[in-house]
Amino acid sequence: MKRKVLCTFSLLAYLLLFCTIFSPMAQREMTVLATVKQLDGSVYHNNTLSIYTYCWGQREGLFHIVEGTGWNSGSRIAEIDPLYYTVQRNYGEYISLHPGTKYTIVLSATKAPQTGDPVQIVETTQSPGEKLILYTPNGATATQPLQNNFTILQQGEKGMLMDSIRLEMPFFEHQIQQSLAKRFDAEGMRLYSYTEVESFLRQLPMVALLTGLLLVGLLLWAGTCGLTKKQYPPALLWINFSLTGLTLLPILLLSKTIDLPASLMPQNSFLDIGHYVGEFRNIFAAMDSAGDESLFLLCRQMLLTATAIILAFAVFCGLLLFLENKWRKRYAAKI
Amino acid sequence: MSKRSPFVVFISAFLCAVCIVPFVYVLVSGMIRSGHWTLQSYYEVFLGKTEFLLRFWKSLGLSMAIAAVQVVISAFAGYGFAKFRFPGKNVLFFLLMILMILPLQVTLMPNYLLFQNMHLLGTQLSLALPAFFAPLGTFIMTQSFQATADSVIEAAQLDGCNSVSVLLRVLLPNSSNALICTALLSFADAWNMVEQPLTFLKDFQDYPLSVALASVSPAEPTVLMACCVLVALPPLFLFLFFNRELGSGIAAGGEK
Amino acid sequence: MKLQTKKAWTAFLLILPLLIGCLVFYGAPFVLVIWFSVVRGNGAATQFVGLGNYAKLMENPVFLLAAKNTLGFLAVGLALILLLSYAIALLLRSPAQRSSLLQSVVILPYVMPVIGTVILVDVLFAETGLWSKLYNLLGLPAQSWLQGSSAFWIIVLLYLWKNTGYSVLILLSGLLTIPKDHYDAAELDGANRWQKLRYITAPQMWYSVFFAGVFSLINAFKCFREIFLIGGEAPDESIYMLQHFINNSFKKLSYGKTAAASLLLTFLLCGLFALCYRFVLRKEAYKR
Repeated sequence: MKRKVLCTFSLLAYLLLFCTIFSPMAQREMTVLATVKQLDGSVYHNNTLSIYTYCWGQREGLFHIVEGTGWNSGSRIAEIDPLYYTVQRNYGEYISLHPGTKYTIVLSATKAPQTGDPVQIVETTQSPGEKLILYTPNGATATQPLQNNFTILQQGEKGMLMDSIRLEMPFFEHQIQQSLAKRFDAEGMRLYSYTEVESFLRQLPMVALLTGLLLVGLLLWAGTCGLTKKQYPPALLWINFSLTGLTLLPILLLSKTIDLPASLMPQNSFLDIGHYVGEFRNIFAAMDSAGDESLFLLCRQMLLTATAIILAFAVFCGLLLFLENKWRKRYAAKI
Repeated sequence: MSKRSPFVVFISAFLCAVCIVPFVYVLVSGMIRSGHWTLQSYYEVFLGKTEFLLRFWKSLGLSMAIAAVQVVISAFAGYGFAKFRFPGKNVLFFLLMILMILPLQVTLMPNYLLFQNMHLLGTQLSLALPAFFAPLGTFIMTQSFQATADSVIEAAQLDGCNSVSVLLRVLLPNSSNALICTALLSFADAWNMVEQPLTFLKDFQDYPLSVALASVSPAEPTVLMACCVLVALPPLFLFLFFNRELGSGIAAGGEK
Repeated sequence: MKLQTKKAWTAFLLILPLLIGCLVFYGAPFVLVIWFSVVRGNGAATQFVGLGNYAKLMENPVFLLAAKNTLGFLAVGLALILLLSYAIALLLRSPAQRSSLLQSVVILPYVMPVIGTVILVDVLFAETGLWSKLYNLLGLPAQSWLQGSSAFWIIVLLYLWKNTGYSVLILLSGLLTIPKDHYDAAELDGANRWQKLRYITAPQMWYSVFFAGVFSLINAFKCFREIFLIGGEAPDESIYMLQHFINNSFKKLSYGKTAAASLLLTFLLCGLFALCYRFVLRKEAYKR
């Protein structure tokens, strides 16, 4: 009974430590990056803003940043009551807020804002020579000529690759989409930043490393549990136990270095694999259609690296178990 | 081998169910969110947000510190009460037992004034200091040490042990059950503290996990359930692991 | 003689940490309580009123309600818990009847954190809770169980569920110290189960029963946590306890009432405890 309780709860302890290391990373990645406009409450200023994030899919809303209390501490997004503003749609999306309002309005955000989301205010930087991936599942017909800073590099049925002289980074999909929507008639258009997708793919091996370390840790835990039986030398138990604990250190280091781009993050849960799969399906369909293979090749390369890492871990574990088995036989023969 | 009568089996099963079902309920209801099965609440508590886990480790540290210090103080005091005679011993011991029975409120209120003057309000010390000197541990240790025969101690003293080594080498190994029991009960008390943080601490950020959940409920009720599982883990582990020792340790306080 | 003094000094040194701590954090506050109970007013206007605060307290209907509720809860709760845990301990005693699962599991409700028990009470006994649903199934109207006299019984039930395991462990341990040959001898004499219980088990269990009672009393006072979290500072009438009274008086800064109530409670417990302790010592005197 004691052994079973100890084994179960040591697993829980290991998982709790892992979660304590993992959750800051998850929370950091899920933080919405936003540009803001600070209204200082002056009654004389013109409170008309051009809001890019105003129409978010089917939902409309105006959001601002508040200091959270209780469990939601830190900067959080909150919705502004529609009573406090009016919409003017004559020359694009313009919002008029009542004079005297003092808000830190969210202008653009890396994903659809929801009340309670943690948020980080960023300043945009103009980045030259960025490439854009357009995914147009229903084809695209040009309605107006493109602006000067956009040039189409490659085009296909379902997607195109565009070059931009300067693009504001971090990538705010909706902001670009609104300006491109005037030039193209494309239903269901999705936009992705080439650089950010590339950065995401390049970090896949690190993600695989993290997963591999977790799996190794779990396997070592299982081994440690088996070693608590009397027939094993206690030194082996302690080696195994410390190895299990040691897997947490690289996980800690990795969690600090992994920095996935915010535009590709899911809405609610960091581990929403379905979202990632869906986004990459769009991206690869667009690139395939436009005739550019670079991302696909990169992805294949990274996946191979990731698989190699996991295989290396598997080999390591196998070796460890083999050695421990040999030791056990030698120890049992001695007794 | 006499068979168990079906009546007894039924009663035992019923009692087991009454004890276990609430835990299972809390575990399962954390997985149902607005009508359908989802692990989103558990994700939020364990993987998505850091607040719950950080507060968990902080409370764990506090409770373990309280348990450790209380065990040490109780061991020394228990030795003094059990094996020595000094004037006023019975009166002091009686007072200690009364102190043990008193509800917390009686001393909580004047402690607030005391801490106000010592400028300790709002610190974790205000929670820890009274708990260090709780009399329950001393009581259990005294009862347990009294059960050890004097002859063993005298033999050790003849071998040249002074008081502290008598304590460490003779009494403690024999009373390991009581020691574990003291540690467990003081940990459980510290882990479930409610009144002291609400009285002595002002800022929500300082509250230990047990009170923080009670005073400000997380947005979703299922998240609260998942947190409840988190809060139940340490005492559950300790009480399951030390089940046997607990039985004889508590009872050491109940027999002579 | 010298050895005695030396031993006495060693003893003092050993209990010194506890003594200092208790004096600072329990003794000094207690003296403060005594002081507050015999004065009235704040700051410069304090005047010594002797037992005036106590007299006023006795006429205070809120205090009397709290005292009635607390004493009622203690009486009912302690009686029920001792009976229940005695029964369960008897059940667990014989190896043939014992369920090892039950033995390990009986302490589990004690482990449930406070927030968990509050949630459970809410789930079961809120107006839309499971108990109401049961009532609806039987065609009876649901009421708000946490208001009104049913709240008292809910708290008693909560107390029983949470703390029976603790007493069971104490009583079980006491039962197991009774030598088996007493029972064998009695069986040879033709005693049935009730007679064995009455003449062999019960007389040897006084000490265990006393301590089960003491610890159950401690746990009963700790039940205030759940009552506070369920009902807040001003719960329903039937579960307004002395601790609520002390708490609220302190918040309103009427230290006199707070102190007087605290002291009354202390003296009551002192007296009760001393009486029971002497009773038990007499019953167990034959052992020494």
